[in-house]
This record gives sequence, C-alpha cells and structure tokens, in this order.
Amino acid sequence: MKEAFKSALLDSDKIRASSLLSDLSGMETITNLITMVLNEIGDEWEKGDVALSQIYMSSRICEEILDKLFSESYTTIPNNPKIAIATLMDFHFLGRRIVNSYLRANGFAILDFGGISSPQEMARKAMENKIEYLLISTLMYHAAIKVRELKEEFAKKNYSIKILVGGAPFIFDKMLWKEVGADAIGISPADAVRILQDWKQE
Amino acid sequence: MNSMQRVLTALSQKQPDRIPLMLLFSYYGAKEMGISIKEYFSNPDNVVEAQIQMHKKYKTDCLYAFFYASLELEAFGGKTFFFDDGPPNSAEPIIENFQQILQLKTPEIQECHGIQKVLKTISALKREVADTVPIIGVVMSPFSLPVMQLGFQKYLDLMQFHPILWAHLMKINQQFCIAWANAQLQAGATAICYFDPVSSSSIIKPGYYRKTGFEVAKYTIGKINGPTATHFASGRCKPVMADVIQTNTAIVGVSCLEDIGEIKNLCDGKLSVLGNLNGLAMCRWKEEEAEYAVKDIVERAGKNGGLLIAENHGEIPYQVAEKTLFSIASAVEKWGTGRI
Repeated sequence: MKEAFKSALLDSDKIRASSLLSDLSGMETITNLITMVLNEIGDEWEKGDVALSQIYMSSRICEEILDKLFSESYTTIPNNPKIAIATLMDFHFLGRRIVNSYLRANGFAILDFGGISSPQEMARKAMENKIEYLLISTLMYHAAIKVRELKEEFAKKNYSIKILVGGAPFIFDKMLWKEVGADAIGISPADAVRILQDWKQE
Repeated sequence: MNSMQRVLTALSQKQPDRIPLMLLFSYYGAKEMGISIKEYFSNPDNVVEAQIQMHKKYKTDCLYAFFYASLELEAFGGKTFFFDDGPPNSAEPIIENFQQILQLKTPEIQECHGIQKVLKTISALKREVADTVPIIGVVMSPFSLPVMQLGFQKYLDLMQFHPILWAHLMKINQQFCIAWANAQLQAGATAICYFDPVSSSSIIKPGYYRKTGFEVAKYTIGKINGPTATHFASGRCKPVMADVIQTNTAIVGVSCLEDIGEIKNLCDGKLSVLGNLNGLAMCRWKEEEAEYAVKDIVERAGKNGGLLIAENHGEIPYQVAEKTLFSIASAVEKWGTGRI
C-alpha cells in the first residue's frame, strides 16, 4: 500500500493516489501514511534520487487530499508553537511552498510571511507576530548571508527565536548555516519536519 | 598556445599545454571596477574593460559576455532587481495567468535595449582579442526561461496540467532563443552557453526530460549557428547524459554534486566537461583548499583533453576573494600542465 501510494505521488497521479487512500479508514491512518511517504520522498530528493518537481507535485497532491478529507481544517498538533516561514530577498517561492505543505501535512500550523525584502523587515514581522521558530528559504548566496544581519536584529532587541534555514546556498555550502548563525539547516522538507519536532520536544 | 588554441585542443580530446581555465566572471566585474553592479551593467565599456582585465589578471582562457539572466525577461517586458553584492535577479513574473501565453509575442532582438548592450560588448571584445581568446555568449534555454516568465511553481503546473499552452510557450521562447544566440555569434561570440537548469535531474525526472527539455534542446541547439555548451547551473546531469550527447552540444557543465570523472567517462569523447569547482564553498576557501579542489578535478578528469576547469554554477560569486582566484589559477598552472 505504502509503495503503491508513493509510486502514484512520484508519477504525479492524483487520481490513483486518492483512490488508494479511499481504501483506508480512519484519519490517523491516512495522515500517518501521507507523512511517512512525503518524508521518504524528501529524503530521496536529498540523495539525488528524486527530482524537485516530484517533491512539489507530491506535496501538492497530498495537500489537496488533506484539504478535502478534513474540510480545509487540518488536525494540528497540541501546543503548536508559533512558526513562520518566509523567502528572503527573492521572487522564487517554490521551496517555501513545498516546506509549508510538508509541515501542514505533519500537523504544524504555520504562518506564511511570503517574500521579504530585507532582514530588518523580516525581524520586525517575526517580533510583531511573536514567532518562536522562523524558517527561512533562500535561493541566492547574497541573501543567505543576510541571515547573519537578521540574527543581529533579534539580538539588539533581546528577542529569543530559533532559525531554521534552507535552500540552494546552504545545500552547496554545508558550513554556511553555522557561519550565518542559524540554529539548524533543513536540506530536504522532511528535515524541516524532524527539526521542528525535535525543537518542540526540548 | 594562446587561449583559443588551448581550448580547441582540449575540445578535440587532446592534451593542451595547460588545462583551460574558464573562470566565468559576470557581475564580479563590478567588484573589479570598483563600481556598483547596476552601474557596471549600464555601459558595455565597463564590461569590456573588466573582462579583458580579469582575463589577464587570472590567466583565464575565455571572455564571458553574460550580463544577467533576467535580461531576457526584460526583453519580454519584465523587470530586474539589482543588489549591492549579488547577481541581478528577476522581479515579478510577467505571466500571471496561463491564458496570457496566447497573447505573448516573440521580442525583436533589435528592439531590446539590454540585449543590444550585450551585442555591443561582444563586438568590442572581438575587436580586442580577435581569434586569440574564446568569447562565450549566453542564452537561457527556452525550456528554463519560463521559471522567470511565470515563477517556478506556476511553470511546473503549466507543464503538468496545460501541455498545449506549454508547447505554445516553447515555440515563442525557441524563436527568441535562436535569434538571440545567432545574434551573439554574429557579433563575434565563439560559442553559446545554453543554460538549462530545469532540464537537470535535480529538477525534473529523466523520463520527463526526454519528452520535454530534451526535445526543446535538440531542436534549438540544431538551429544555433555555432558550438554550444549545455549548462545545468549546478544541477545534476548524470542520469540524462546519454540524451544530452544526442542534442549535439559540445560541452556539458558539471555540478559539484557529481563526479566529473564519471561524467567525462559517460561523455565517451563525444563531449567535453566543464566544471566543477564549488562556487559557494569557494567564498571561504583557503589557498590549500583551492589547490586541492583543482588537483582533484585534474586527477578525476584531466587525462587526454576534454576538460575545462570552471566554477559549477556559471558565475563566480561576488564574495570570492581575489587571493582565492589567484590560488585557483596557480593550481591550474601547477597541476594542469605537463604529463597528467
């Protein structure tokens, strides 16, 4: 069942994926299967075995299925921390969209700040919304290194926040996340889920 | 050997006097000139001066006439954002809904201000070096340009759910790409770098590439009146190498995520490999790391020609220190000459 569902997602076959799930009963069973398969696909992308378009289509199909099943209201985990996601200094939003879908499928409620043009604006928005965990997606190196400035903005106000970074610059330079002062790096969307689960346990 | 002889020897799968070094400097030229990136690209004279200067300074074997990718979006009516320390980036997509694709017109090369600046740059570079240094022109592949025209997410949706509109967009983009590539060759470019990141196996699955990006590349490259290098902008290409060879391109840009020696073996003498220094890690490299990276590439792929050493993404980041570039150049002199 799991392999058949995964294969349907990787083939972007929404009808087959939905039909397989209709054979199951119980929201928890369905949600567990979706999260397990999405996380596996995320891990395979990290190894280079799955393409970005497959991750995107898989997350999109699962999001639609969950929306339909739960009438657009996801079951969120208890004591959901205040989490936000944003793209820093770019108009390429695909990474943010995929991570957002993964987190929602895993029961996290998440605020989407969209594209933000500067670290100062991002800090202001995070503090206004009392965000505890901030996920930052970047595409360009010069935007990635601005996370350092963002950290400084938070430090100036003594604002405590955890920052998770992701995107191409952090994948190609494995040390960059530490250098800019982020608390963690998510190579794949599945990583983001695991890291937030760990942070919540702390 | 001069740079042209060195590169042509390598491309003919023979050992040149030294492995060619193709440091692709685009907006890095602004740093060299000590001016802002926006000002730098406002005048072709700046680019010409910086290209010649950097070619001599770092002993590179090419001149790179590339300004920035969103210049092509500007031709379609889009806008570009400039930054102090990063590559100019495309602003909002020009296509908000798929039906607009039907109204889209192929831009006329003569009427595009930004494109004319590039053509002037190429002509001036050609006057400077004649046939002694290869001049590399650049086009975005018709298959990858829609990431800027529509946004990535919308483009993936277009491919998946609206194949007829996708095919229509490809036709428009192919007309533009072919005219743009041939104008650069006519202005004096030696070869065209065909940037096609969406075709990378990191972005779409190989089976889907064969039905889409491959067909687009085969047709487009066939209409370009000069040699091409296919570049996946640091995306993986190993699973599609057999197909890439069939597009009749001459060179493939290799990601630092892949083994350049393995890709060269897959090329089997039909293509040369370009790469695969990690441009982002390069921003923090010490001298010995730069040397090690060059030595590693030479050991993996340096035998019997067919290798051009370059950064893997297609442009040197602004944050790379000059001393690192000097270290790379010295390492190529040290490890890329003599018996390999």
